[in-house]
Amino acid sequence: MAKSEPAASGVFDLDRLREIIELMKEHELSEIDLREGERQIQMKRGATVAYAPAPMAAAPAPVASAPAAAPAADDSHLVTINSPMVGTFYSKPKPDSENFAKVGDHIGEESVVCIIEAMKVFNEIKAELTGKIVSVMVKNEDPVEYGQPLFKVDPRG
Amino acid sequence: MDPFPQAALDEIARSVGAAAVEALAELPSTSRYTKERADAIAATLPYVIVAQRQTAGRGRGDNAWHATDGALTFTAVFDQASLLIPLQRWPQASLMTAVAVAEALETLVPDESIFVKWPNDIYCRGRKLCGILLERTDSPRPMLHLGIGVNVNNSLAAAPQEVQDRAISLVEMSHQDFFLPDVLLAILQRMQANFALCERSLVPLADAWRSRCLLWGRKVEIQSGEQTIAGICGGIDDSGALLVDSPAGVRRILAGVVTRF
Repeated sequence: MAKSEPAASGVFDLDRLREIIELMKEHELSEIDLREGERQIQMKRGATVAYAPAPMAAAPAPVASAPAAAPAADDSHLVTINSPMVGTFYSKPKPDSENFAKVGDHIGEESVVCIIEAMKVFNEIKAELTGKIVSVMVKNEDPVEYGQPLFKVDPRG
Repeated sequence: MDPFPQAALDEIARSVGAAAVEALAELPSTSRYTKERADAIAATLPYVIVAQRQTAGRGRGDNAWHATDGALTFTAVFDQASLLIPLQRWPQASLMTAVAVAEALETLVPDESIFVKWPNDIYCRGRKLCGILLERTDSPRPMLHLGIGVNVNNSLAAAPQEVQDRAISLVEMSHQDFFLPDVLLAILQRMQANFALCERSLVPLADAWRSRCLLWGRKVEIQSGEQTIAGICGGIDDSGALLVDSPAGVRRILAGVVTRF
């Protein structure tokens, strides 16, 4: 991940990094972007630390144009839609219908993503968030528990 | 004669405290109707719609509800304010409704024993008398659509043999026709009573469902996803779960289909 020589002091000192990580945890920050001179550090909590030189241009680069720091494996920003109850998961309204939500679909807060049946009450489950479906974590007609993740969603998608 | 005179429907609304009770000559499905009009209906809850004829009645999944003229098919819609039961306990409304229908029908055919097949099918003489389907929608706010179909004046004598073997109607037992609004009123009154009784828990209804449990002591098979659970039914516990004494121990079933009994 290191794209320039690790620094032994300043903001990039190891103890300092630990401190920053602690602060991120304490304040539940998921991402920070720091720079000092030509060096820049972006940190994302839960997955990887990306370490990259700042752009060579003399003018301070706006944060938005900082090098993209998310490698392919970084899924720390993904969120899940969890089952609100014990029941049976139905991915579609009827056996011969299309699934409510499939990988790649863009969903809104009001989108129905599945039905959970408990004691023959059919509950339409809404996404309650916006994003793109990255994976469906259960199969049609699987029994599900309270709080069990059903879908993985990229809120930036 | 109009099977659902408006005066009778208004009287039902007054009696059970419904904001509106309406009847239409024909609908594909009363629950589909209320779900599609949830926004409009939300202003008049509890709301009841009756269809004199339902052309695409639904059961669980793809099970068609074989309904001809003379059956009572309706959907009652409640929200949290009118149901009194907290959202997380709405699945228990399945049992409360089933027991209510059984209690109401017992007053109409007092010589018969009427049973509840967990969670909410109604059986008499080993055949299905009534089907119930509950659906929840969440827009503009959580609403529970209780779809109920009772075989009342619809004799099944002309139905295919396989339907005759599995279904029964009130008229076949009593040999007399019923005034459908009376049947509707009896069911709605018992539903309201059971919802009030179970505001805090299902326990006050325990005796009522235990004495009517069709599956008690029977060898049952439950399909839950790809899993099949077989064993002897030990009744229903205080949370409404079906108890199955299987080789792996007593299982509590909250979701799934009873495929054999």
